[in-house]
Amino acid sequence: MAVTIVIPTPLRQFAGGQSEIEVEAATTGEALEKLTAQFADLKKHLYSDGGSLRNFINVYVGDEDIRDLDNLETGVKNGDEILIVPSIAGGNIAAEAKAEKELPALSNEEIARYSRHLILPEVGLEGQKKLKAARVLMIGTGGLGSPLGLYLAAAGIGTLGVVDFDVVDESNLQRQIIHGTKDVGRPKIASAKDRLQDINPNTDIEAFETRLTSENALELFKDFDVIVDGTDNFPTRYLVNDASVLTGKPNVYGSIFRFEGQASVFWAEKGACYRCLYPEPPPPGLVPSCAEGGVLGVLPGIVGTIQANEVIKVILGAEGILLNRLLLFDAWKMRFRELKLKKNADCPICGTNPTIKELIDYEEFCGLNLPVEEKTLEEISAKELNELIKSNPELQIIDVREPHEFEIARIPNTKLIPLGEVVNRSKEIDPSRLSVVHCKGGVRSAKAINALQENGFTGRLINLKGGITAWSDEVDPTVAKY
Amino acid sequence: MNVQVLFFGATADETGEREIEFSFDENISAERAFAEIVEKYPRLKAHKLLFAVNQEYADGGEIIKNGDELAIFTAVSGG
Repeated sequence: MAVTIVIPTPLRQFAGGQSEIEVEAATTGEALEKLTAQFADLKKHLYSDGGSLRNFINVYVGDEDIRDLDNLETGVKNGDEILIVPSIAGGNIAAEAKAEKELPALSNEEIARYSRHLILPEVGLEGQKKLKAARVLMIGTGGLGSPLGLYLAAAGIGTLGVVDFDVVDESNLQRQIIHGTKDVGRPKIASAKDRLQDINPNTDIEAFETRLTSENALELFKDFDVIVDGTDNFPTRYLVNDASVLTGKPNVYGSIFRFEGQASVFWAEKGACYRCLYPEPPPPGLVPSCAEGGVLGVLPGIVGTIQANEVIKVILGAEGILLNRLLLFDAWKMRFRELKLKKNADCPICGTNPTIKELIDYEEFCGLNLPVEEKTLEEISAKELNELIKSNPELQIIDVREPHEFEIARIPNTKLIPLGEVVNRSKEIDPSRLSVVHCKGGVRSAKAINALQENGFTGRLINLKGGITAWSDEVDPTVAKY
Repeated sequence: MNVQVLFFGATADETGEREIEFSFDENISAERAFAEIVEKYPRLKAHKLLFAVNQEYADGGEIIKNGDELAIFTAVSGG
């Protein structure tokens, strides 16, 4: 009987780097013996000194745990797949903790604090100890990181790693509820640490005031059990995914856009990873960020708490985690939908023949290092625009924001043509006169110029660098910043 | 035959729609069906689109049936 043994990422180094090995065997035990005969280094990882399977190694035939079948005597048929799932990476963190050390005890104060968990049979004393033993790394303390951090600390996660490098801005407070008004101008990491520590002094907060990079991610991830992705940009999302896959950690994912949220648990050893779902990043600049596109403040609250919920279930070894499922949430329709996902055998990082074996340059991967647009785009600063208005009476200023933004703040004597209409209404712009195009921050106006030029507009178009925000900073502070 | 088409994320902005009815010839593959939708909304072409048929991530080979639910979405990055 030819059967395929699937080797999990952390053990591949002991199996000549292979992800699958075919052997001839009639039982699971025989298959594993043949495997370890070929790869002696693998033996001590699978078997204890007494020769029995280590209790943090789970073995599945098809999708059934052999402990529920006939253990090592479980028969195998031609074409069967045997999966080795070490609980270190495979989610049963409790088993790992038990194998290596006893779970930590709870003090009387902790027992009182976690009482509502303790009386839930699904958590109970053992579950609460697992939460205390767990090390969770959250990337970002923004819209998603705020609620998920608050709930994870409150739930009694023993060690919470927090990564952020940003500073609290007034415009964050509408949704980033871990930070308060008094924290504006402080590093987010300091503000988050204070708040988390106040919620639960028993939680050990490990603060990393740094940008997550290809240089530091693996070192950082290896000491944690679960990674939570609360970042706000594509390069970091691919980095978080790849580092999670390479270190064998579950990646609890959430992402938001205006009124819509997505959540999933990406876990290469058990199912799909982020790259199985999104093999390629979107073209740069095409999907607006929260700063450009706006976001309903409550939305990250809902999505972030879903992530916290899944983190806790992963630690408890609960069934029904969001594995191989992409949750799509629409806050405006108040509707949850779900898509089934599958691991992609051709996935470049977690597929059968991975091509990505170490972290790469994610800015480049997402096309952000190419200064192509900047070369062709003529730009002007707000100060220079102010001078130009005085010296050139023919100048026309086109505002490509939306009407509701125009209501909030405007530069005098501008013409409003929202980005979505700019090509169809290009006749309203006189090509014989010089035009400056602006938006809130300079991204949409660059797109508008690009679209106009692609559609044959012949006049000279200059982009206002930093948009109306720069105008408020450099020229007229009475113009409100939003 | 008629199917329901849902737009998520940036695709809803590009089409100005969230949910529409779309009519196709019988026995059309998912790949062709989605190509027809993108033809109708050419602004979608610039995006890396992902497709689902009846709540399942689609690879294109699926045959579309009357009453199916198709979805088009993109990655979003906000946090």
